[in-house]
This record gives sequence, structure tokens and C-alpha cells, in this order.
Amino acid sequence: MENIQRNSTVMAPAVPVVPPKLSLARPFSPKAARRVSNYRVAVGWLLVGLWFAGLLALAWDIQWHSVVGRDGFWTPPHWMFYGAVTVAGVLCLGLVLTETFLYHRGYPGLNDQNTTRVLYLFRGPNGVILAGFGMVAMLGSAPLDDYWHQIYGIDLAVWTPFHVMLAIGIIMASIGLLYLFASEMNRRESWRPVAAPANRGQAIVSQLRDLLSPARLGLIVTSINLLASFWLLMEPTFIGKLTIGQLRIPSYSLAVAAVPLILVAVVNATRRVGAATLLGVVFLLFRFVTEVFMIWGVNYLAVDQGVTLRRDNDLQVMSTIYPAFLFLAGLVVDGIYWLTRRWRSADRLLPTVLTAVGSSLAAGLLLFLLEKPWLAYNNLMGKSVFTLSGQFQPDYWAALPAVIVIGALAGLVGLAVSVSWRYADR
Amino acid sequence: MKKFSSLFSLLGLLVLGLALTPGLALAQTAPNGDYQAGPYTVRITFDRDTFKSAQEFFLTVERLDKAAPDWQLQAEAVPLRGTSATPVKYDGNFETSEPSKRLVKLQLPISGNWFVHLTLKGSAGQGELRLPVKAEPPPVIEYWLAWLIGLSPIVGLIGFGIGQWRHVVRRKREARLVGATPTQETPVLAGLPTQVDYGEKPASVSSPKS
Repeated sequence: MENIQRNSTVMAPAVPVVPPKLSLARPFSPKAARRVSNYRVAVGWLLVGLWFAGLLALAWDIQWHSVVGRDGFWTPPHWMFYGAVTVAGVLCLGLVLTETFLYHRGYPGLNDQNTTRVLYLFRGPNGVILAGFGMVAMLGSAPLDDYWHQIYGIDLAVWTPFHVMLAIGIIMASIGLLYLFASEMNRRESWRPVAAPANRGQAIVSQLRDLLSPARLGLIVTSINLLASFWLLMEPTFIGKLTIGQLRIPSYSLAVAAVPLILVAVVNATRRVGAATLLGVVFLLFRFVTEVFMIWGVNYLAVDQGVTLRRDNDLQVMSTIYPAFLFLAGLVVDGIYWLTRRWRSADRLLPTVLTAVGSSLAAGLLLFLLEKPWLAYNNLMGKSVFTLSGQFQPDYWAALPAVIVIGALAGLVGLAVSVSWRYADR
Repeated sequence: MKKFSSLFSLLGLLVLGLALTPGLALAQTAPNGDYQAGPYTVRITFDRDTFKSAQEFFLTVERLDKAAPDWQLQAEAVPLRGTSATPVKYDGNFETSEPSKRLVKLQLPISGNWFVHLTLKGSAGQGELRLPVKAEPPPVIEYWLAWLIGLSPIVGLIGFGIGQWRHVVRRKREARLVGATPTQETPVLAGLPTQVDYGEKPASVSSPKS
């Protein structure tokens, strides 16, 4: 109670601020709240690690399907993926049960403002609750997907009911983790000392230190999870072209134009220039790790199980289509945010929107020019079949208006997402 | 209310039953019998008459000939045309207590027509045998029901989105009351001391007034 009153006066002395649903009867201790936050961030990082393992396993599985086929349910990629999902689900459940227990015991670090009630009884961070349900959806989809394969065989279209269930679970888990880190990032902003940096050097060091703080870095790294999930879902679309009238626009180009959404969201939510570039660099690292892991994984499995490969394993399905120049797009977004920092300083709507749209558009156009679909197609096929003058002319350039629209919209959506992250506090 | 829930449960069961009915398929008999595989005469015995996809079953290969006693057995299930699957190799302990017999544990992961390809090797030579088997699918649910189940988690995602949107609206309203930005209001809600956000924050709110 004392804390609330003290901070209310600090923030706005004229208005007596007590948020409507804040339980005044509960004791609240900042020290205990920090302990809870540390616990959440630690669990969040464990979940990120498991989720990366899951994504590697998914890529491994897709590669296995491509070069070998689907010879059963209990393959090592499936073991790895569902193992990671199970452990992650247990962690989510553990965190919610712990916080539920502590909340009902009146622990002073938990209150109605930093926990969400679920199923009447339980309490926990809403991101973890969503991620937990995502894990349940993924695990639930496993036997159903196997059942579907038993009936209809291995060479199914990707958009089957239980693949979609898995995809929704993946998205839920990724978004849940993002909200976990976003809320902790926001809460932690209040922990830092009040002293402003004395000079530019100190400001840069401070900026860098903040960028690498556990919760903020967690948000950036988890964004990669979401991006990789998006590409995993994009994989079937990537193969085809979008037909509009006489035009057959490469859907890959449209997809890369949407990627700056996440860059804009991350820069806006963290309010740190450099976040987008860091995201791009870590994504590149992830792409490399995926490639190395898949080559090793499939070769190892093929030898172990004595199977003949249907095609060359050097051709990577997933890493080939992950955008390689994301760090350059990140640099563009960061650069525009840096250049417009004074213009945006009053937090007015128009500069904020224009910067988001402009940076997203610029990054989207850059990715459109650099991430050439025919190169990705050729990489996928292992030979130079597609060329700009052949299959992609003039369809490739016909995608430009759509790329501009998508790039601009991605900026707006990214901004909206970042606003939601900025307000996440439980 | 109780009556309605019972009625809905019954209806649900009925719908599920109807949805499952078309998948009940006819069975196929196991190809038990005596076969000649190269220099070897073998008796093949399956432990069941019908096969279901993803269900384990055992196959006993018994040597009836008097050729050289040393022999090895390899087994592979190969999908026939029309069965969307890849060949599956089986290994494991084929030994039994009797030297003339070998036991193979098989599982056909996908429904459809397969043949079990057995390769017998020994000092007498090599022999091959192809035994046709059909794996029956599990009961098939209707497409619409499958899609309903598959899309069901989206309810959670939409619910979360709506909740988050309402949360932002509520917090914005509260922030307007206080005259604070999101960064500022968080400390109020968390009950923690406030701070300065370097560089990226408007000068007007960078240092809280006390």
C-alpha cells in the first residue's frame, strides 16, 4: 500500500492513482517482485533454449521428409521436437503452479497486476499461459497427425488439419514467450537507477548494456523463434507462385517484404536502436546452425537406419529459404530510427507512424532486391534452372507494387504489435 | 441445463460415431504358408490374420529344408504402387530358441498395400521372398471434423488477442488519467521505483517530477 501511494505521487501528484483492479489488501514488496521477475526470465530463457531445439528438430524433420521420406512416427527428429515441447510444457506448467501456490499464500511479489488468472484458480504470467497452451496444442497434434499420415500416407500437402493444429501451437508458443519477455522488460525498466548518462559515450554504453539485458535480449531472440516459425509455415507457399490474373508473382518475394514487421516491432518495443540489427545477426547465426545441424542430422540418421536418400542432402530445405540478409534490413531499420530520433522525441503519433512505415518499407524493398526467389529456388533444386530473364521476368518486377504495400502494412502492424508489447505488464 | 449437456454429449457421440463409420474397412488374410526362397524352403507364420497400420506384429520364418544350418534373415517392408510411404527396414533380435526359426517384429506405418521383403542368406546361397500384406487404416474421421479439431487451438489465440487488446485499451485509459506514457505507468502498476529511459524517451518525461 505504501509503495503504491509513494509511486503514485512520484508519477502524477495531482491525480490519485490506484488502478481499478489493484488489490490493496495484498502486501507488496519490490524485492519479492524482482525475485519473481528473475525467476520468470530464467524460465523464459530455458524455454527459448528448448524452443530453439524444437525449431532445429522441425527443420531436421522437414529435411528428413524431403530426402528420405516419412518412415514412421518415432524418428529422432520427432523425438527431439516432441521431447523439447514436452519439457517446455512442463516448465510452463511448473511456473504457473508455483506462482499459483505463492499467490494464494499471499507472497508479496505477486498481485493481480503482474499475474493473470486462468481457469478460475490458477495464476501466472499470461505469456507463459499462452505458451503452455501452445505446447499442449503441439503435443495434441502429434498422435492426430500420425493418425492422418496412417490413413493418407506420407506425401501429404502441408496444409492438413493436424499440421495446421501444430502450426497454431507453434505460433501460440512463440507469441507467449514474446509476451513473457515483453512484460518483464517493461517491469525491469523501473529497476534502473535514475541518473541520466553524463556524456554520449556513457549513453552508448548504457544503450548497449540495456540491449543485452536478459529480458530485452530475450525479446529479441524470441522474435527469431517467431520469424523461423513463420518461415517454417511459409515453406509450402515458397514453392508456388501467387497467381493474380495473368501474373504469377513469386510468393517468396511477398513474404520477405513482410519480415520487417518483426524488426519494427522489436525496435519500437525495446526502444533501443540496434535491436533490429542484433536480431538479424542472431538470425544469421541461427540459419548457419540449422544448416550444419541438418546436414549432420540427416547423414547420421541415414547411416544409422541404413536408408537410401531420395535426393542430395546438401540441398537444405529450410536454411536455404531463411532470409540471409536480415541483418542488412535490420541495419536499415535501425538507421532510420537513429536518424529520426529527435523528430520522434515528443512521442507524437505522426512521426512514430511514418518512421515505422518508412523503415519497414525500406527494409522490405531491400529484402525484395537481395533475397532473390530464383536463387532460393535454384539452391533448393541444386542447379541453376530458374533465372530472372526466364521464369521470373516480368513476374518478379510485377511483385513490386505488392511488395510496397506489404512493406508499408508490415510497418503499421509492427507498430501495433510493439504497442501491445509496451503495455504488457503481467 | 444438465439435460442439455447430456443431450449434447449424446449428439456428440452420435456425430463421432457417424464420422468414424466410413473408415471401417474389410480385412485381408495373412499370407501364411510354405514358400521356396532360393535354396531355402521356409514356413511363414504371421501372429495375426489382419494388419492395421502402425500396429506391431510378428512374423516367424521357419526353415523346413535340410540345407546348411547357418543362415541370416533381413526384412524390409516395401510399399506397393498407390501406397504413399517409404520402405522401412527392420532389424533387431531375430533369434529364437530354435535355430531353424527367426522372429521378425514388423510395423507398417501407413495404410495400404505393402510387401514384406525377406532376404535369407547363408552358406547355401541367397533367397528372397515377397509376401503381400495389406495394412488397414484406422477408422477415418470426416474432413470437417478433422478441421474442427485442427483449428480448435485458434480459439485460444484469438482469446489472447482480444484480451491483450482490451488490456492495452484499459492501460491507455489509465495512462491518460495519470498523464503518463506506457513506460511510466508500468512502475505505478508494479509498485516499483521509477527511472529514466535514456535517449529514446521524450525529454518531457525523462525525469519524473516529485
